[in-house]
Amino acid sequence: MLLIFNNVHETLSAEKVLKEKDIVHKVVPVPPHVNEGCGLGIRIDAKIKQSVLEAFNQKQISVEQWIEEERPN
Amino acid sequence: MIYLDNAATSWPKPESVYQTVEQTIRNAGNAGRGANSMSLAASRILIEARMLLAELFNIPNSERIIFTQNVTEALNLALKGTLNAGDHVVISPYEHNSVVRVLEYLRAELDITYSIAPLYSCNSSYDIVAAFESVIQANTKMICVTHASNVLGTILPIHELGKLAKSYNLLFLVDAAQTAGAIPIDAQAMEIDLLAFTGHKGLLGPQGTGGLYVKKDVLIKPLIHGGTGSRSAKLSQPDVFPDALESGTRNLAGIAGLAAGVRYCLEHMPEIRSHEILLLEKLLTYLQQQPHISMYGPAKATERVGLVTFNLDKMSADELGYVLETQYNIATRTGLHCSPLAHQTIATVDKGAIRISVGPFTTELELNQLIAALEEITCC
Repeated sequence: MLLIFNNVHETLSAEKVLKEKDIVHKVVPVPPHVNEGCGLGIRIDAKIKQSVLEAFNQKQISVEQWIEEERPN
Repeated sequence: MIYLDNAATSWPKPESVYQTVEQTIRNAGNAGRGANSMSLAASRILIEARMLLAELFNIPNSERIIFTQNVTEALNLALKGTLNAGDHVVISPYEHNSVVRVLEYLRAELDITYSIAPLYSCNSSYDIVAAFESVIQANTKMICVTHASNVLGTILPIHELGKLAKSYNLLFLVDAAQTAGAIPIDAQAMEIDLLAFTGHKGLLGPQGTGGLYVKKDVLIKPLIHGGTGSRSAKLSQPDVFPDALESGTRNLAGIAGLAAGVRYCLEHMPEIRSHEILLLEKLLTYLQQQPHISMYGPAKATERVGLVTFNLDKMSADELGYVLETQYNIATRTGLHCSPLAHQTIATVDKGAIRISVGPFTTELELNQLIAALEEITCC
């Protein structure tokens, strides 16, 4: 699952939260056709979406798009 | 060199600042420019710096901190970005030219006017607030005030002025050039809408750094437009923060150094202030006992930031500064300190004054050497 944020600040703020919570993730480049954001996204395993959501809610991190992916994580 | 010009720029810096600047130049890429590891490392440095500043100033949302090259740019952004034709601004008589010259420009270009709160006979916070209130007009949009005078050292009552601004629904812009890092600033408790700061004074960072905090929902236009690394397909400026106000490559090494300075301040702030007060008391006690020295600003150390300005009866300020530098190896600052309005309040616009300003690394021994030098100069 690919998470897209408004800009680099929000993407890396989200990354910081995931690191603090020890949630497995990867910061990855995304092409312009995926979003018109900052060219960055965060990939997580779709199975942990709920725990990611909770972590972000606690720190008031907003996600612009949650994109389901067919490719393996 | 005995360096007593910390109000102009702090020196020396904590060792961690020097090391961080060097490491950053060696290792980091360009922040917000793609997903390569060096760019990401650079972006993480910016985030960390914003978060440290947010902690220091009790700012709830770090993305609202915009990095600028200095406090002058931050003040330009705040004033030019929020004021419109016909607006009126209330300022103190202690404002730096980085405020006054911007307002004079806006007066000529946009018919924006300003009034100076008459603080000349104010003896209390209550009087100061009343003086500001006395010049508020129907078209007043903002109170813009320095937290402390860079000439007199006087600390202004920001909490109370913040309340006044809110009671009239005015924007509240605070220039923290002389206080950030030394005096606690709580942007939320002080009801600050716009907080302009520099990185190279009390925050102990490198020159070429500074910033502006813009409270959520304050409408502000960018000073410059351009690449942000975000919304790149869009031809207009993004409206998301900090990108909306922050275009072009940041001074990453400088900001990394600033972050190291802020970290030092967070760890040492109470000692920094108590050390400053100790040094001020020593200098004030000496100066107040000298019949041929005119000292300006509050008599109490606790009512000032770490600077003292004075004049000798027998020697001009510029000559005294020259003698201290050349014969005693003591660096000070003479002249008008870019604040002619403040010098008007003490009738020193023609002759200027000499300013002594201390920092976290100034020692009592160094102040003793200054006092001994002044003794020698004034006795013969």
